[in-house]
Amino acid sequence: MNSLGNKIFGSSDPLSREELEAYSSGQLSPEEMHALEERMAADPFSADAADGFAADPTAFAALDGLQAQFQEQLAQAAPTSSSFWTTSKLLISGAVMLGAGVGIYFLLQNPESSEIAEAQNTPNTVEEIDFTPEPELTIAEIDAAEPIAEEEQFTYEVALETQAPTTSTATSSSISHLELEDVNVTIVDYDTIAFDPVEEMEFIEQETVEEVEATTPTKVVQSNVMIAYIIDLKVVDYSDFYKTRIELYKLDYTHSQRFEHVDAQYETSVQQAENREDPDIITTYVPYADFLESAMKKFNQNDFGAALKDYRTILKFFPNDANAHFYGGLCYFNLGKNNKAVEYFDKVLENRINTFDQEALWYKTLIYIKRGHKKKATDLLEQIIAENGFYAERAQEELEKLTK
Amino acid sequence: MFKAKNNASRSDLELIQDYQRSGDNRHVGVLFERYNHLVFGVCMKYLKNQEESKDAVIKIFEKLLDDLKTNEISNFKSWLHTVTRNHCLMFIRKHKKQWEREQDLESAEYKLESEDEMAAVQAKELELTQLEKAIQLLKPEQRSVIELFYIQQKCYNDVAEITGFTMKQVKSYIQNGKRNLKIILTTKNELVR
Repeated sequence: MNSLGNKIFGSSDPLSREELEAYSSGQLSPEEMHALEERMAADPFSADAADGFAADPTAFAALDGLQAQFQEQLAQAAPTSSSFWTTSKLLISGAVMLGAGVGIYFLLQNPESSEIAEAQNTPNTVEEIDFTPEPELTIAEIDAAEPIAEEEQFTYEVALETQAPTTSTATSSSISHLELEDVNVTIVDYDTIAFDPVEEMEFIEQETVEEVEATTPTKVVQSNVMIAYIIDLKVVDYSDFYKTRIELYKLDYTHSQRFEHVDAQYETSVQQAENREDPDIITTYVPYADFLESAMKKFNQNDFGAALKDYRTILKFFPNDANAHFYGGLCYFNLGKNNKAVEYFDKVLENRINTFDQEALWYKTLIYIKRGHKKKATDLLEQIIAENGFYAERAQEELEKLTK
Repeated sequence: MFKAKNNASRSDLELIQDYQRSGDNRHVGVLFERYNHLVFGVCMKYLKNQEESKDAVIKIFEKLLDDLKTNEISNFKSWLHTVTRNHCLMFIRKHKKQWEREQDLESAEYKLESEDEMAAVQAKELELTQLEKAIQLLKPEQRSVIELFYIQQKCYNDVAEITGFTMKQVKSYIQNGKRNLKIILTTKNELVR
């Protein structure tokens, strides 16, 4: 009988998407699985694809938009395509939506600015969120994360060059009216190494930036809290507000803090105890300013994993800390975690402290642009342009690039 | 739309030839419908990232628009598979400093496998005894896996359970077993009685 030879050596029709989905659903009977597997054994293309989906069964959903995306490319590549193409309906409806969108945009051009402010403060409904919330990365995951390509990173240089000139309208005592929380938390974190104290660094108060040529006041950010600069990067100055020190734990295996003198009869058990890896816990207390500076230094050296861990330690003690959310967001992006980056920038935007609002919105928009979320990026760019802040011109350029 | 056949019954080769003749890229669009899920799946296997994989699919098919104009491709399916893997390989080399599977990928220089040889074996009138004897000549692991999978029609899971091999090993033994069977049958045909 020929069929065995056919089975072993024949080539097979590729598996359809439905078949791949059924296979990876794990709900087929063994006979059904075998039938598909026989075809996969005869078609390496399908076998490879099945492996790809096995690692991430949610990926099937990603295929849904792909067809439309490619049809768009085809339509652009061949402008002489005629109207008999089924997707011409897609294109036409797309054009209608675009027209409607443009119409709505013009309607919104003369609104109160409060509408935009309200839009910014209103949390997105679930359908609008493109990035789904994710849990924080574990220490191991941070260590394992690969940074994205250097030319795409938001490095120290990029952050420095991009940050908006800022003045402060606050005096030190006015933070309290923003109802920030001072959290006194004790964390035992065996992964956090002890912090080596640095010499005191002075926070320099920023005077009015006169070199800025912007004639309109909105081009210079009016921070509602005191600001300072660490390695020239803007930070919120919480020094008058945070009273808690950051508590760090370190495991000490040298037993230097144990009693030296041991009676002879107990010596063996002490030796045994030492061999059994029984560390002491050493606690150090670090002022926020010093700890933040150490984190910024790591960011400055492009050590995003280490900087991120420090920003997260800050957040354990000060869950609303704008510095940690902003620079932590940049770190998450550089490590390729776009969802977390956008989540952090959103927290910056929700924070009543407005110091980083324009930067956070700008970076968030850049992420959407880089990831190809055209609609969302366009919305954000239009918002930035409408607010006419520091990034308005850049947003205009990006919008033109996007809608070309 | 298309006058003659409906799209599903047109072969890959027909679509390519129509595209070469007319330059109308809607023919490539049909190929996209047919294969995009496989290209995407393969990219997911190597790049492990949905966004990158989507980008890659688009880029690969865009390049097809050019490549198909000028190339004679007799087996589009396996050609596309190779193109996809090479695209992933280049991407990984370009974008990652360390990549845990780079050793695996580097050692496999993806050449365009000709499936014609396999088909030739199939086309022969294979007697059951010839094939059975060839199977007996295989190494024990390959033999038992081939028997369980092809003759007893067990699925990968069951084969793994019965033999105690991992899934990966099972698939690997099947592939290697097939290759060895082909060698036995084509080169030593006269010796197999």
